[in-house]
Amino acid sequence: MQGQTKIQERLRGIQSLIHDIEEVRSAGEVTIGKLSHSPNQTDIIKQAMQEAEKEERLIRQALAKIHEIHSIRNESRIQARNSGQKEMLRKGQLMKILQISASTLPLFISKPGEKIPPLVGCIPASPDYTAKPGDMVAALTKVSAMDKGGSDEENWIMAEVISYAHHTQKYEVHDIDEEQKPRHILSKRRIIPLPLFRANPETDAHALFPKGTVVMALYPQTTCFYKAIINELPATAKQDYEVLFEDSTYSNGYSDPMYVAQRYVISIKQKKSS
Amino acid sequence: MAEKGSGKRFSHTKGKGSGKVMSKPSPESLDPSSPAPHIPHIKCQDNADALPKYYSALTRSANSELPPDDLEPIQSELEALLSTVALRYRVLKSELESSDSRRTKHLDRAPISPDKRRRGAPSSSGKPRKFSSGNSPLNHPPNKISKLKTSSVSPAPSQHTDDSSDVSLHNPKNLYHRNDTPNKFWLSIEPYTVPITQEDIRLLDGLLEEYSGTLAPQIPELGPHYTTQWGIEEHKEEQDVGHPQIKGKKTSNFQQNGDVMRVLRNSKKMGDGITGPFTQRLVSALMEENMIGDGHSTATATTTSTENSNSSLENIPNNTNMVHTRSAANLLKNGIAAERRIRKELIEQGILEAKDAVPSGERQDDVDEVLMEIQRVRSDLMAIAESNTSQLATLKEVALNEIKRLEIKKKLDDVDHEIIEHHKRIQLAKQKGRSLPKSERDEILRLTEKQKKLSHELDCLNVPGYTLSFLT
Repeated sequence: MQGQTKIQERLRGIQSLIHDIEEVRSAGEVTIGKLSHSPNQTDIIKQAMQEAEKEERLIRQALAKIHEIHSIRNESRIQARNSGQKEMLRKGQLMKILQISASTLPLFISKPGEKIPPLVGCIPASPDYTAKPGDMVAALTKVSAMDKGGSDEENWIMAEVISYAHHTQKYEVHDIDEEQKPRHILSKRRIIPLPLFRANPETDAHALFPKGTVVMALYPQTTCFYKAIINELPATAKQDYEVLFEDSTYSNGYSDPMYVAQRYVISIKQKKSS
Repeated sequence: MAEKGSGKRFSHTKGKGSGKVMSKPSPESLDPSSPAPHIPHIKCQDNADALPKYYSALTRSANSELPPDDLEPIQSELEALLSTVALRYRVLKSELESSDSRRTKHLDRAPISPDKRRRGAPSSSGKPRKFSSGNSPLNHPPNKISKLKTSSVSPAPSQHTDDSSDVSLHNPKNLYHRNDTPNKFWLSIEPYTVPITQEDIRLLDGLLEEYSGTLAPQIPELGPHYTTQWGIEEHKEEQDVGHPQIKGKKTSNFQQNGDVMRVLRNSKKMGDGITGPFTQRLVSALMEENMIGDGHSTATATTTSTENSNSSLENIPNNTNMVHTRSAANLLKNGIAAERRIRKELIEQGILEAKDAVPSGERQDDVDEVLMEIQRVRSDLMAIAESNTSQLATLKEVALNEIKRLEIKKKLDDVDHEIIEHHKRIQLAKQKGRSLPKSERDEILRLTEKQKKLSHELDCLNVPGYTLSFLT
């Protein structure tokens, strides 16, 4: 229950920050109004910039609190799982959770001139990066022969990191789709961390996959990643990518456009050249 | 479907929120009398529409608690606000910088530019200055121009890494993606696309030389280890193992005298070694004969010479009582020879057919198998080496052609360069209103002729990439 009080504390903080933000906004509006009447005055521009900076700072604080709440909830979920409580989810619930966690993934908005760090949008993790327990990853797993009529198939599934062993360079991951074999021990090569931040198309469009890029994307209503081509970029932070999945059942080899959240679109793992 | 849902929610926000506000000023800005700044901004009065949860949070007191269910929509609304304010900051910054730079420019050129313009020189460089003559920097037209500028200059590679393009950030869609991936890709491709050099030809020559000798390693003769030593070792082993076997069998199986063929057929059951199954059979048959016979101790007669062993063999079919025993030492020495001789003898006598005799020598089979495998692999190697040689030859040919092509290309580049130089001079002359001297004109004609000739030559040569069928 300690987590609950922490969350309440933050909820109160957000509430009061919203009031602060509104105060700054209405003050800023006056300056913006002035600017529209006498646009060439540098001192007014400077004032508007200061106000914008202040507003930005406050909003970032409020958002930071929201993300703290998310991580507190996530931690308590991990604890519950480690203590043996099994989360039983229906498929629909699982999909809903995936959708929510994609839309609540923190949004990265760069400061002017700031370099976009790894795991924002399309920027991949650095090679020595290791995902933390509780992070979501795409994991290349073997589908057992029983499930898929004989042939050993490999699938990129969505999984959650349970632990990482540095000496063996292997992850223990948990298949979020409980129906299948829930736990896998996989080498680091078979893991792609999902982005930890969404990129903001309005300010950091270059952190999005360009149109036509071949990527791996979570097929809607499943927990598997498949090859797809970016068809349309999101125009705002709330929008999803429009992708075409490789699909041989269609005459042109690609599916109809589908929408996949930024969180579930990752760069394709480079295969070692033979 | 879930994703689509969020998309819908977004479009709602966009329609009534930032999108609307951002697009709103543009029609106003078309009216020159009231120039409105193009500043991204969500108006507070639009809160109820654009930011419903944020709005409802404002109706509660600052000390109360935000309902946990509102967390998700509040997040997206705050993100929209943050994005807008971040954009606003960028636009303001760019406006500040551009107005600063314009002012310094204006100060620098102030005494000259009005005169120049009055003289009526509508050069393209004059245009931006026109706007600086009092119009607002936040107006639409200057922005447009700065946008155009970035897009037209952007092919320069430095643009991709240059942060200065942030100046015109107010419409991020027009920004060029500062994505490093293409650079990485081209860097990885570069080694394969650089023009080939004499160095490469030398490498090919070296490789060809390597392949000019024998293409696959020779198979060596069997060394002493396998021909003699191995045999001796096996024989020793057999002395330990083989004898008890014989003893065990002589009471049960071999009751009938003279059934040599049967004994021979059973040969595989017996220990095999240097003396071989035939020798074994011979010995055991002879021993049995002794046991079954009336107990004559004829076995004591010994002959050690190989000639004698030969003559004794002739007697086998006739069940004569002539028995020869050999000393172990002798067997050791002449083991292989004895086995071979017995086989030969048996075939000659018609007891054993040649095709039966060969497989019974198991050791020989072993050698054959290994040898066959070696030969098979070797022939594979030969085939690969041959194809490698031919590919190398093709590659060399193509490379030589390519070198020729590159030479022509280089010449063409030189000519091109000269022509460009001349072109610059012509431009200069035209500007100054001078006519060109004849020598210069002739030179240009000569150069263009040369250029035509060279480009024709270049066209005649095949580009190697298209002719290399083996690459596909």
